Amino acid sequence: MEEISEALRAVERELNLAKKAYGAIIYLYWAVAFPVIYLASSILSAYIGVSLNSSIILLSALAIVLFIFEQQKAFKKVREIETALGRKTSLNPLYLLAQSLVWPIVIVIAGVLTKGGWLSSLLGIGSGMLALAVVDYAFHREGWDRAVVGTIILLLSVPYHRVPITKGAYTTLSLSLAFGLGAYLVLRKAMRE
Amino acid sequence: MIEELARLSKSPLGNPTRLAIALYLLSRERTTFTSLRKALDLTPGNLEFHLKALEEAGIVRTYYGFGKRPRKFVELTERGVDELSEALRILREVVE
Repeated sequence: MEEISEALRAVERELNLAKKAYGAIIYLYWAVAFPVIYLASSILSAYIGVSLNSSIILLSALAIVLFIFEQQKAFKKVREIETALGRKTSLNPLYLLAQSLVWPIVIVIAGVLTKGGWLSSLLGIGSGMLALAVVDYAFHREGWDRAVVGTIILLLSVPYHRVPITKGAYTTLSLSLAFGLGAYLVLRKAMRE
Repeated sequence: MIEELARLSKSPLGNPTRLAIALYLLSRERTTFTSLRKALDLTPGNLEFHLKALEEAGIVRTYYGFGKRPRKFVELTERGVDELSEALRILREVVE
């Protein structure tokens, strides 16, 4: 009996770690995607003559589509793990609605306030992550990781006008750093628990 | 409780090796036959035997993918998730 109990605890620990790892994938995805979009667009612009802005828009749209696909796969796996652990809860429709409304609202506001450009990406994504953290906290009493990522992005937008590198490169580095750090913190916390 | 345990022991996941296969697959989208064999320290014939039983019960799905050479992939089905959840629930209740 003691052996079964110990084995079940080990299974639960392993599954909890896997669940957190699926959560971190979302951050890792964007930590990689932002530099890829910027570099690929710069290369396309240099060799094929495609304008930097058009290729960034096109590749960003592609990255968002791939992200939705990846997120759905991760979400399905997390739900399966929760089912096996006996902790599957029904999803609150208000939570889903709040989550889906965050990005359009925040991006429009950031775009209007900053008149577009790279700074609007930093402010939009930073504020969006903070808004998602508020939604997560309101419904599930969690979301610290999103709050950390959002805060870092907003803090990095402060020296935006003073840095001696191009605005696109600075924005890409800032976003990649924030999302990479988010993934690191989520995984580190999961391994300590 | 005794009835549930008896039912579990007769189900495909009543075998410890098959339960381990399902648990290994639960946290992964899919895995290769070779990875599974190495992780669970099984011979190819032994793993093939258990996978066949699990596949017949609708708990796992196997298929071939093509890269440099054909590779056999294994993944847990939705039915597999349900069966595994039920097996874990029974085991949790026994322990409690």
